[in-house]
Formats: sequence, C-alpha cells, structure tokens
Amino acid sequence: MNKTGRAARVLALGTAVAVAGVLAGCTSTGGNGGPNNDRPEGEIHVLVLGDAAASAEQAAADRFNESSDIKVVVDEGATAGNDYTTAVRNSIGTASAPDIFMSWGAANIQPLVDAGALLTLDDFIAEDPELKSAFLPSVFDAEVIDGASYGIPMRGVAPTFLFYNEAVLADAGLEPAATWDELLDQVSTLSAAGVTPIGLAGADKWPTQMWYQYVFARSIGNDEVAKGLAGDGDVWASDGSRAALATITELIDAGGFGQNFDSVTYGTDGSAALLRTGKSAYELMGTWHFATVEAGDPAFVQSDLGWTAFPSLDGDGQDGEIAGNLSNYYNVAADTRYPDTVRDFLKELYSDDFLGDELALGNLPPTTNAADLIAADADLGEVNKEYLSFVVDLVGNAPTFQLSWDQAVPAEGLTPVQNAMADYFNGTIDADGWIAAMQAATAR
Amino acid sequence: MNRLATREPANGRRGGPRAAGRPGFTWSIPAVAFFAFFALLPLAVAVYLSFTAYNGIRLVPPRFIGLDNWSRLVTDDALHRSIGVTFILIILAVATQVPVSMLIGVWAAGPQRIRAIVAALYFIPLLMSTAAVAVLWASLVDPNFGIPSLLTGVLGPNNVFSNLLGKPASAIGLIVFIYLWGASPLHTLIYQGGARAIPEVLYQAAAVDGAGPVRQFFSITLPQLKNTIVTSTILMVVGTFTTFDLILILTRGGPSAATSNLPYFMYDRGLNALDFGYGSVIAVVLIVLAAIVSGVMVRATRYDEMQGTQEGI
Amino acid sequence: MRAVTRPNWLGGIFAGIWLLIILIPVYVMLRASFESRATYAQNGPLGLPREFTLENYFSAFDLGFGTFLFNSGAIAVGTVLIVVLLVPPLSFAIVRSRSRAVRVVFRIMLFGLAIPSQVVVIPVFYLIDRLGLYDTLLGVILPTAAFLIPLATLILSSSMREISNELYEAMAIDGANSLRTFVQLVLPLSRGGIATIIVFSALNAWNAYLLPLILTRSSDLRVATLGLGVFKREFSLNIPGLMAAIVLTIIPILLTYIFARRALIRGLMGVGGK
Repeated sequence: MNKTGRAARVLALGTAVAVAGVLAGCTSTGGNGGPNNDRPEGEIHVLVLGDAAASAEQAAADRFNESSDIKVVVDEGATAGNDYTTAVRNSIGTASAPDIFMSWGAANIQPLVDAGALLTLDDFIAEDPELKSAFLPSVFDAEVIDGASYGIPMRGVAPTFLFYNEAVLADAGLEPAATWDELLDQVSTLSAAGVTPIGLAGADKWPTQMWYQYVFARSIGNDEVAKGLAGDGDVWASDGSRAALATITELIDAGGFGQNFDSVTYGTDGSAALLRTGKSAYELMGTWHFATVEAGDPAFVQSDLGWTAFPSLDGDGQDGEIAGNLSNYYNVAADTRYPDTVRDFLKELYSDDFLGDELALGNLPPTTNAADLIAADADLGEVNKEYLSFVVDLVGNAPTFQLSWDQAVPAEGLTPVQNAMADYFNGTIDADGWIAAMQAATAR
Repeated sequence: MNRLATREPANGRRGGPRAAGRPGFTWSIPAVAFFAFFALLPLAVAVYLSFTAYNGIRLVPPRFIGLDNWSRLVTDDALHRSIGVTFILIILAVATQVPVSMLIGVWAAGPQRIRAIVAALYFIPLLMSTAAVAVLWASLVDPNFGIPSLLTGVLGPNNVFSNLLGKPASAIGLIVFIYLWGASPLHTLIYQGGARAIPEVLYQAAAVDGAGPVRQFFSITLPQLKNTIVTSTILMVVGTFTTFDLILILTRGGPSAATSNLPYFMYDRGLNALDFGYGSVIAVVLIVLAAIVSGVMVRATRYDEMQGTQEGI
Repeated sequence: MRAVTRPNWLGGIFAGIWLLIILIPVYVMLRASFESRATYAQNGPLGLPREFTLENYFSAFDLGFGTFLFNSGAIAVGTVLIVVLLVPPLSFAIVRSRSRAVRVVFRIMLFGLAIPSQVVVIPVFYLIDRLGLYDTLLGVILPTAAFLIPLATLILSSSMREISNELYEAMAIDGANSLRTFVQLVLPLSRGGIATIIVFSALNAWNAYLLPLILTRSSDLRVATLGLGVFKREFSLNIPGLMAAIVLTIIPILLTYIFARRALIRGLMGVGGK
C-alpha cells in the first residue's frame, strides 16, 4: 500500500545515506606521515597476545611506568594468532589502534608494510644501537624488509628438534638416532615393543609440517626452500623435492607415526602425554615442548626427557640447518603519537629483567647474551640450563634458520600449505598433488 | 492511542471482529529500526565490499572491481564442495536432532518431578562456549587417552573410533554428534514447552477411545507440535548454516576439506586470507541460501499465518 | 497439559542413556577443574577422581576472573534489557497484525537469522567507532542485542501465537485498543516465552566472543570468553585451569536458567484458553 511503499522508500534512502557515511569511514583517517594526535593523550597502548605469557610484558610495562610520564597501557588481545592479527589490521590507521603490537615474521607484516602502516625502526636504532645489536642477527633480520628494520624480537627463539624418551629407547636397546637411516631402522623395533615410534599431533597440522621442514632442509637445503616459499615453483617440482617427499613416505609407510596421528591434538596434551607416559619414543617439536611436558610431569623432564638435533640425511643441505619459529616481534604503528616513549619502552626488550621473566616462562631469549643469562639464572634447574644451552648452541651453529613454512607465505597461503602437509601425510593427495598445492600456495 | 490500531481491509483470514485491538506496523518500528541500524547497515557495507578488493587494512580503502569476485563463484570448485558439505551437515543434523529433541522434550514435559531435574541437567551442554566444547571433545576423541582408548580392550587397537578426526566420514559424524550433544538442549526445551501446552483433554478423549501411547503420540502430540517443529527446525537449519566455531577449533575444515562447510570456507578463504571482497561474496551466498531454505519451510507449513495449534478446540 | 501420565519405561531408559551421554564431558570438565596439572596429566580425561584441589579456581580469580565475569554479566544484562524492550512489541505485531508491512518484517527477521557475524563485524567496528563507543560496554551491548533480535522474535512469536482468538475477542468486546490488549492480555500470557528469550539472549551475550574481541581492548573490560586465554599458551593449554574457568562461566548462566524455568513453567501453564 501507500504506507508500505513510502516506508520502504524512506528506509532505502536512509540506508543509502548511512552506508555512504560508514563507507566514508573506510577510507584512511589520520595521516600516513607523522603522529596522529587523535590518539589518547599521555599514554601508549601495547596490544599483547592475551595468553599466559603476557605476564612478562605486563611486568615490563609496570617497570617502565614507574619512571615515565607517558604511561604504557597493556591491552590483552586474542590468544589465537589469526584473531589477533585481524584485530590489529582492522584498527590500524585509527586513533584506537595500538602503538605497539606483535607479529610473527615478514610475511605476517608485509601487508602492513605495503600500506605504510608501520614505523621503520632505523631511527630508533641510530639513537640506541643496542636495539639491534643485542639480538641474534638471524632472528633480527627476519623482519628487515628492503633494508629497513620493522621489528624488535621478543618472546622466544623456538627452533624445532627431536625430543625422545630415554627410558623407552633404553628398554628397546636403542640409542637416539643420529641419522635418518637409523631412525627408520628403529621404527620396526619400537613398533614391535608396542610403542608408537614417533608421536605426532596430526590434527593440528603444523606439527606435521615440521617433518617436511627438516627433510627438505636436509635434502635440498633451506636456501632452496626459501626460494620456493618466495614463489619459485620449480623448487617444489625439482628432483630433490620429489626425493624428499619419497623419504617422508618411507617413514610413514614403515609405521613410524602409527595409524591414528590425525586424531591427536597438541593443545589437549595428546602427543606430549604419549612421550611422557612412554607410549611414544620420539617427537619432533619446538622449544616450548619442554615446558609442556614438564607441566604434566616435572619429574619426567628431570630424568628421562632427551633432546637432540634432527638426524642427518644425505642430500644437498648443509650440516646443522634448522627450522622453526624465529621469534615474535614488536612492531610500531607509523602514526604513533609518542615515538620517543615507544623507543624507550622498546629498550625493555633487551633488559635483564624482561629476559629473566621470559626465561622463567620457558622462552629462550632471542639475544646474543642468552647463554650468559642462562648460566647466571639462579632459578633455573640444572636440566633446564642444559636444555636451554643446547638450544642456544643449535641456533648459534646453524648456517640457516628457516621460518615455519606456513608463516613464510602470504596470508592466503597459510591454510593451503598446512592442508597440503596433512593431506600428503595421510595419503589423500600424491606427490604431484602436493607439488601443485605448494606451487599455488606460494605463487606471488 | 487509537492511532496504533490500523485501518484494515477485509480479508477474512481470522475469525472475530476486525480492527479493534490489532497492532499496526508502528509496533514493529523500534525493533526494526534498531536491527536495521546495527545489523542490516553493516550487512549492506559487506555487500558493497563484495564488489571490491579489500584486504582488511583500513589504510588501504576497498578498491572497486565490479563482478570479479562474483565470477569466481562459478569456477571455484572448493566453494561448490563446501556448499555440499553444508547441506550434508544440515540433513544429518535435522535427522539426528529432531527425533532426539522431540522425544526427550516430550518425555521431559511429563509430570514426574525427576523429569524436571533431569531436564535441567540436559541443559548444561548448551551453557558451554564453543571453546570449552571443542577442548573437551578433542580430549575425549584422543586415540590414546580418550574414549577410543577405553574401547581398545573390546574392539582392538585400531578400531573404527581410533581415528575419528582423520577420516572424512567419521569427522563429519563426530561434528554432527557434537552438534547434537550441544544443541539438542535448546530444541529439547522448545519441545518441552510445546508439549506442556497440549491440553490434557485431548489425551483423555483419546484414552477413552482406546488409543494406546504410540497412537496418541502420532495422532495428538505430533500434530499439536506442528508449530514447535517448524520453529525448532528453522533454528536448527539456519544454525547449521552459520556456525563453524566447532569446525574451526576441532577439525579445521579437515580432513582434506571434508568438514569445510560454507561459513568455515568463508572464514578461511575470505577473512583469513585477507580477501574480504570474496569473503563477502560467500557471506551473501550463505545468507541467501539460508533465507531460501527457511523461506521454503515457512511457506510449505504456512507457518507465517500465525495460527495457533489450538484454534477451534 | 500433561503428556501420557503412565510411567513410560522405554522413554525413561532412553532418557537415562541420553543423560549419561550428555554428562560424560561434564564429568571430565568438573573432575579436571579440581585437579592439578600434574595429576590431570597422569589421569587423562577419563580417569577416576584422584585429587581435590581448589587451586585452579583460586588462580582464576587471581588472574582477574572476577572482573571478567562481571563484564560478561554487564553485557548480558544490557543485552537482555534491550531485547525485552524491543522484541515483545515486534512479536505482538507479527502475530496479530494484518499489515502487509509486518509480513515483510517477519521475512526480514528470518533473513536476519542467517547473517554470519564474522563478515559484518568489521563494518560494525567502523560504526561503533564513529559513534564514539569503541572500547565501551555499551558499544558491545548494542550490536550484540541487535544480532539477537531475529532469534528472540522467532521464539517469542512462536509462543505468542498460542494465545487463542477468544481471548482477543473478549478484549475487543471490552473496547480495548491494541495497547491495552498488549499490556493486559498478551504480556501476562507470554511470560513463558519472555522467560525463554531472556535465557537465550543472556546465554548468547554471555558466551559472545567475536564482538567483545573486536570492539574492546581495555583490560578492565575483558569478558570471560576472552579471559580464558590466561590458561592458554600459543600452542598448549592448561586444561585443569581452563576447565575451572569454564565452570566459573557456566554457574551464573545455570542459575539464571533455573530461576527462569519457574516463570517458564508457570507461564506455559496459563496458555491455552484455560
């Protein structure tokens, strides 16, 4: 009727006007150059990952605020990396965006760099060289893009390596495998003893990915891998790559991972419990695994937990190449209102207090003085010190340190990479399918 | 206040005197205006975004690209697959949840006190957030420490339950089961309310006629529950169309995209991949499909004629 | 009002089995919440209770759960208030009105049920930001309530339509206009439906994750669903701690449901022309 018609027209017109108004907000506000004075006065906001490890960052902020007029406000964001990054990207450029936030590597911040949303930290470094020199070069350089520094490393260096249950191996009369062939041989012995040779939390997919990272590092070398991840599709189709895939298949088919790995979750302690209770012998996992295993059985890590570098394998890779998570990084918004305060707060990241807190959380500091800090830390037990020193040496001696592949590709490639890893492992796709998936995921 | 009553044309759809006491459109304005502003308006923006390329970073405004995102709909096989997965999940969800909720709901509507207590216990899964549900079930399906490990004594070490998350069929079955576990309280409550409202006289009359409990259920309970069934089923269908939180945390769309339904696909290939334009396209597809399905259900059952089930009793 | 009054043994057995299935994960959750991390790791999810400690609950409160629960509660209360104010008039219109515009509104509500929040959350962020409500509880309450309106409308309309025509006719003969009909007839008889939408709106608002995540950042506005993060690390979970926190988030809503049920049952008794 007339009434309905009129109402509908008014509604449509109102909607159009309102949509235009909201869309106007979609365009950039606040300059790309210079501080945004719409930001809150007298404070800078740090958006931290809202998990249990945020306590170290909160403590750093509290220490800093004691002597600073401009206060650091710690905001706790999501605990899942995806949600966290989305929240950052959503708010960047507005007055509500954080001044400092966390990232996972160059691919993670590339869209922000392209948008001009990040402050280059080279000026800060010129004023305080320790902001760069205190950190391991291989780790720091991971967020240097086109010669400009964007991130200061924080939280922990987390390479991956092989953990094992000493008691299980001893019972089976075995030594920890130093070569791939040894590992392959041990599989049948261990299976016969009723043990899952290698524990794998396949449901999460990223633990599965770790196996590719090392087999490829040994077979074709991380330099080639880096090229492949940067978009060179020939790397994935090369003979070396196919040989690596065949190697992996050999281990799977021999029963190295058991049958049910795709239903085991890392988060709910599925694989750590296997290692702890002697139901598995090995597990390829990152530095944080010590803390995970310890939380369930402190006595176990003191007596029966072992760790070693990934076995060697014939191929074009150099000795000692490693893979894993280099670190997390703090980035700075380009339009921060108080850059000097930000620079001074960033100095906390190499302070002994902050690094000591990170050590207490089980994170290995990404600094050059990590070995000294560990030795001097009175709260760390002998076994913990041994463990952390091992990791320090592993990183120090590594000619290359490849970032986890799903973190090294653009955002749209993350899940395709993870899916390809899992699908090849459980036989859903074959080598050609895997190669095609990797080429698609890394294409630029 | 008489302005609130509208002038009505005669359409004779309802019995009784017309005009007096009937609410007009004005009664719906506050809710509709509020909803339009906070939900429909953002939706309109999202629809606009479907014609743009936008990576979620506000500093880089959306770039108009016309129908490029939409044309991907035709060629994207993974999208078609996810639509199929969505419908499979819906059919299985309805097939499992309707019988269970209805039977439990009708049972719980009975007079015995213990039924009320048990009904309160049934409600607990609904109170848990998806994060909680996912963590609990991930622990329970663990092959080495969860329920499968209890069954190895009986069924052997690599039985059908050992790798629930690893096989497509069992992953779908697990998701449907967890939905049943978590969502049936809502529908049980709806059926319980509906069953309580059925007048006693109907059952008494039927008992006099010699009808047994099964006959009474099919001749009285079911027809009287007609509106309840439609309400509950619409919520079930639309709910299965739009939720993916469990899939995100538990199966991540796997194994090999077997549980990647449309909302998960939208999240994964749209929002997560920083492709908000395409993500918005998928969202529109999702909304349209869900609206069509629920619209068909409403039309087929004449739900929108707002007849009570007890008219004429 | 009552279904078959003879005890239904088959139904009882089925209900009992279903109860067991429902409660197994609840058992895991409760037991884990009273165990330490080391004990839970030894025990596994399905073990028998071996320990009883309140340390997880204490540490939840130490880590801020008091504030988190308060914020979740504030958002739930605010959402329920808006829903209870807006939806009953709308449902009344949908159930009784003859206007074609209201038919369209019902279609819009059905359509609105299917809007996935992930996609609209970004425009909602811009909207709330422009209104100056970013990082406020009100900024979370308004969109949360808006997204719940279709669900509440569907449920309440379903309940309201059971009010029989004779009662309306009696009111009309009495000379009542729509407002009087609403206040004196519809509202009292819809108590059950209103109790239902209160419970479900409160539940949805209480368990909301995405909107609070995107629309707030201050620690003192953190809600319980986000607060669960204090028991997580990037790759691993403190399961006993997490379970204790989850139990804490369930209790308030369970209490709300138990109290609302009384109104529900009493309200439903009145429907049906008796």
